[in-house]
Amino acid sequence: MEQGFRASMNWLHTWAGVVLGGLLFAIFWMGTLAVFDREIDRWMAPMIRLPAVEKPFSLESLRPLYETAAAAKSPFFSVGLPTDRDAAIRVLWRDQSGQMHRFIDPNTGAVLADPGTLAGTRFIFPFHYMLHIRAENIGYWLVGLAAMAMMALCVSGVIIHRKIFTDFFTFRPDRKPRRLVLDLHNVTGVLGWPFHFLITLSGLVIFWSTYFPSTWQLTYNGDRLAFFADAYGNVVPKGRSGEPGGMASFDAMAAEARRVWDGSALRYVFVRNPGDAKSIMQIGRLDEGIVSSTYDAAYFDGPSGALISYKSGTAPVMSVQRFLAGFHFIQFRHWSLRWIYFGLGLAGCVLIATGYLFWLESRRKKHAQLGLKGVRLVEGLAVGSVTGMLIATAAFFVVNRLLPLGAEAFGQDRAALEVWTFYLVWLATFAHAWVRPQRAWMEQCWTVAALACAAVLLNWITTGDHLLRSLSYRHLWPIAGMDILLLAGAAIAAVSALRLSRPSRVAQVRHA
Amino acid sequence: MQRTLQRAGARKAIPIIVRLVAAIGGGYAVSAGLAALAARVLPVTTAMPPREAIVLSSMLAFLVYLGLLIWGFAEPSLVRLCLILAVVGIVSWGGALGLVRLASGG
Repeated sequence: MEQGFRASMNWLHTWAGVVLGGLLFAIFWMGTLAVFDREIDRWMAPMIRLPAVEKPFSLESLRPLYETAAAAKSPFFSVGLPTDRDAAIRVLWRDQSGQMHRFIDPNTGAVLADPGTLAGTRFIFPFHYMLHIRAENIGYWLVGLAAMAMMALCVSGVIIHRKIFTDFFTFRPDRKPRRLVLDLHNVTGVLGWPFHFLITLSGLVIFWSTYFPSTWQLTYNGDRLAFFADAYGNVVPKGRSGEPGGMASFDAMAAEARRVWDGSALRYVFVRNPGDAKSIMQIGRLDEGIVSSTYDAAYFDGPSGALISYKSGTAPVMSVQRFLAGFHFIQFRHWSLRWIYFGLGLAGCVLIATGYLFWLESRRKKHAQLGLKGVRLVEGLAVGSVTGMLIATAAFFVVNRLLPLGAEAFGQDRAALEVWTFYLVWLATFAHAWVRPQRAWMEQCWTVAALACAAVLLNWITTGDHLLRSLSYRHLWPIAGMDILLLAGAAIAAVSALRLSRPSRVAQVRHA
Repeated sequence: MQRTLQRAGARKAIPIIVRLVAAIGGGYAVSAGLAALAARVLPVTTAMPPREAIVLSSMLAFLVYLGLLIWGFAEPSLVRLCLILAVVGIVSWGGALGLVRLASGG
């Protein structure tokens, strides 16, 4: 441990960054992509590239699916209603074979073919907050640990910086690579500081009841449902009655929910215990006009359709929690803010990646002299967790366009094959970085560029939605946006690869 | 020679491991204890309903934990760090659990 406050903060900044940087990059990268999760869904599932809803949709037309869920004794039946970003209706329930997921075209009422992908909302978004490690909530705790480290990095980064104001305006791209890397780290760190700190804190606050269970467990005797019923106003049925029960008119209950909220639009419909005499219908309010994610919901007795209770507004402290959650979830309708979130998220990725590079460049020579293995090990980790993560993501998109619908291999369905591709490619990038340390950065940059271009090309070939076409239809703009970002990413990756392959540059990087 | 180097390495590593455990693990335990205590005390001392006190103290606990993490790595004396964390941890958890027992009439 170093002596002195600033020296100890320097130590904390360095080691928290080196040890948790890879995890942090994965979380920031997936979170940045999740800003456009619905748009990624449209790109990866071409059957939901639907025009906006024109005529009001009758929820009654979902009854056959509801009956299916009830017959399968599913614990729930969930319907996500169309929004500005997503025209398709999403229906979800569970049967013996697992989670059932269906998209419905609201204009025709037709059940669309299974896209066979977890895409943005079911792979990228959950990866961001729990890394798809469900056992014992380990995924949540790892993300929580990384988030606390991120806040500690934000604070210690400020303390060890002597010239915050100067760093604002300092960017020297023509100087030595180490200088460039540090300038980029400082610029993204200083400009993005308020966002990076708040987005991390708000992310933690969303899961406060997981991270600090001591508070509610003591008062509510460990009964999570009882506490949630009290704090969030949830109405939870006390188990199944076992008796079969009907379900009143979906449309009548939806109309009643709209009436109590003065004609507000609806976000979702959620039935607990479908087909049971004790079923409860929950209808959620759509609040696209405010930051807070209010979770206002109306509850109906399923068989009779009688309104049990409805919420609108929350107590003061809970309102703060809901505001922070809404600030993080970005479910409000504001396209320019959405792009700013995306840009600042990318700035966070650059911040983490350049932090790694600076650590490596400032130790390369010394470690080589002393014969230490540290630089080689950290470089392998950094390559795999930065460019490797980009390659795995691009491979996820490419394989999505290559696999035919209904594909199956090694006993895995199409969606699982995509996920396997992601993880195996990611693993391979670490192996590559270990085997070819000298050229790993450059070769992986070329791979990113090639895969991103391939994704755009494959999207054109398999769906016919090339850029000119997708730009000329409003409902295909998300496709155009994703294609343009892929091409821009490919260009940046190619330029980086070119700069890395210049012999003088390589020499400079090696001996800086 | 090799063994002396190893022993020197171990002597350097132990305080760092202790500090990591104290700052990360101890810091969490203390912030969770303080939050639990605050969630019990606030409804008694103010008009705040218990569910609101729970949410407030949980949200503030993240900032308390952040402060403890920073201090955990900045405090020069490892002994003082461990001692203070232990005392605050015992007092806060003891207080919170004691208040629960009082409330249930035990």
